[in-house]
Amino acid sequence: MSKTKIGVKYCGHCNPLVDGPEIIRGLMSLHEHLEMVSWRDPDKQLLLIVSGCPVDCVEKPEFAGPIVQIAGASVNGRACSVQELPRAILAEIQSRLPRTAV
Amino acid sequence: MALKDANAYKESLKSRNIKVYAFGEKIEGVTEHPLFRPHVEAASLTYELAFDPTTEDLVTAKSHLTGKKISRFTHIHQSTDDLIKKVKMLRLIAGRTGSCYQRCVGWDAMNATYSVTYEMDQELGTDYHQRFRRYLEYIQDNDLMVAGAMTDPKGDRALSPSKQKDPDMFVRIVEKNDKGIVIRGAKAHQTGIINSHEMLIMPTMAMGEEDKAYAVACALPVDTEGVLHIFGRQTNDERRMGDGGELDQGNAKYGTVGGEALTVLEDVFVPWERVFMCEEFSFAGLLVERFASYHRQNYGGCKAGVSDVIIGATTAMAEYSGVAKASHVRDKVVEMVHLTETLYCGSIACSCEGSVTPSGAYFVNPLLANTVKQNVTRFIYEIARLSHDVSGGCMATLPSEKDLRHPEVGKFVEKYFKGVEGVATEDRMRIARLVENMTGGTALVESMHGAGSPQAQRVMILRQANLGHKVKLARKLAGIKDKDKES
Repeated sequence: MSKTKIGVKYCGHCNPLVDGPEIIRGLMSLHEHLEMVSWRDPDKQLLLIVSGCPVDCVEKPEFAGPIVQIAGASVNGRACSVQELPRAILAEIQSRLPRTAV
Repeated sequence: MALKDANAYKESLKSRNIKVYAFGEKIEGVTEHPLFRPHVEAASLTYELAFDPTTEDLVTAKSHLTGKKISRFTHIHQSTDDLIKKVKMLRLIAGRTGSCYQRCVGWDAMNATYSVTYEMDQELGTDYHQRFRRYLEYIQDNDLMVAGAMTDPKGDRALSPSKQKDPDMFVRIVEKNDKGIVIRGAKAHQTGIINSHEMLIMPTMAMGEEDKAYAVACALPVDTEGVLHIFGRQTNDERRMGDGGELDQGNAKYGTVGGEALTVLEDVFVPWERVFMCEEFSFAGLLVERFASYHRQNYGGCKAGVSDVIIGATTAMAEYSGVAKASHVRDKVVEMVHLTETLYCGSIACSCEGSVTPSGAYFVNPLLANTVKQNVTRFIYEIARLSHDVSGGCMATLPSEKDLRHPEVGKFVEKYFKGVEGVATEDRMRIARLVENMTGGTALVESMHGAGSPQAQRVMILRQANLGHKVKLARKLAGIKDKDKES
């Protein structure tokens, strides 16, 4: 199975409640077929926006495909614990992409 | 030209021919000299973070001149969102350095000069704004660090520039010719100028016609012929020198303040393309107010970030000493957080309440910006006081690192300065030194006087207070009838 490219855009992490890179590492440990690439990668299949807190002030790039938004301890507006975040993100990614992709 | 990384920035400093004196000696090799290295490292981080995907969104922006990706430190604010991101970026970087990283002064100078030159041209028919745009594009394209040069030595503060016994107490134009101007004087308290590429000179106060020779704004490289820098002393600066180690410095990598110098200008030539005000005295006050407000905006960002580190150090010190669970200790930490976030509130507020100037650049709310800085002149002292209270007196009596490492007495330092089990004595000493260096001497004075002394903010607050409106509100509620309407 080829890897699914996930474009990642972080907020500036000025005073984060969650550590974006740590969350992404947790996510990658759950699914070996995910490949994290720059949000600028034109071949990405999904855009993952990682904001360290609910203010979510990151500048959001244009993208016509599916987007999953993390803002502090929430995924697309649904709250969860910090420990659950990687699994919640994976579930959201899987719901947004075709079954064959993830 | 691309964004510079930290190494490219440091290399670019080496090609300057800057004239610097410190401790009675002419300094060669600023980037490697122990006195300056922390300031170079702090400024370097402003470059390096542009390449970090977790900070790029704050540390970079899109130039409104060229559309290219630039350092936010060279960006002209195009929205209130830009003003907010400025504050967040400053807090972010201050949390990483625990120190001033200097680059905001020149940034504020560029933003102020951008909007004021536009308005000068509109009213006076001059052409400074296009000239400044070309200079700004040069700065952005080359990712240069600019020192904002406003403060004159000022001499007798009761006298205007032209009334001073020594006319050099304020920078002035001593000659004009077809190629440019010649300026003479000095700028004091120049943050980061030793490790900057350029300086942007501005007048330090509003002026009348008799002072028009002092109404000058211009840009020049910091190593221009006739420019000399004399570095200022800082609390504990000698701890950086010799072989005393790094533990006693507290924050060995980044220092505790920005590194300030007296910059002397001995008949320095500035070509016309770098002159942005020349005797237009009626706009000197506006330039000062714009710069001062932008700069005062910063302090709820950068000092919040520095306070984040102090709060972390204080909390760690309490834990390492075994007092973290005491309710009065927790309450003091709460108070430190409360004061820090109050400062941050103010900087965010003055940014949200910003507005567009005729040039299209966004400006902060000056009343709220001055309120932020006024609070900083008090709150940082209280945050430091609470930190000292919780951290304990040992930071004032700790032996040196040399004693900790001494083959004979080191074991006593290790034994008698230990706190709780599981925490190395050296770690406890390191945290104590961090608190000591971040909360004393020069660091506190910078919080008091940086971006203008307390009275300067009170003058601006009174000017913006809209007292007439407040009086009307009170009169109406008190039932006092408006005499004009009665008759």
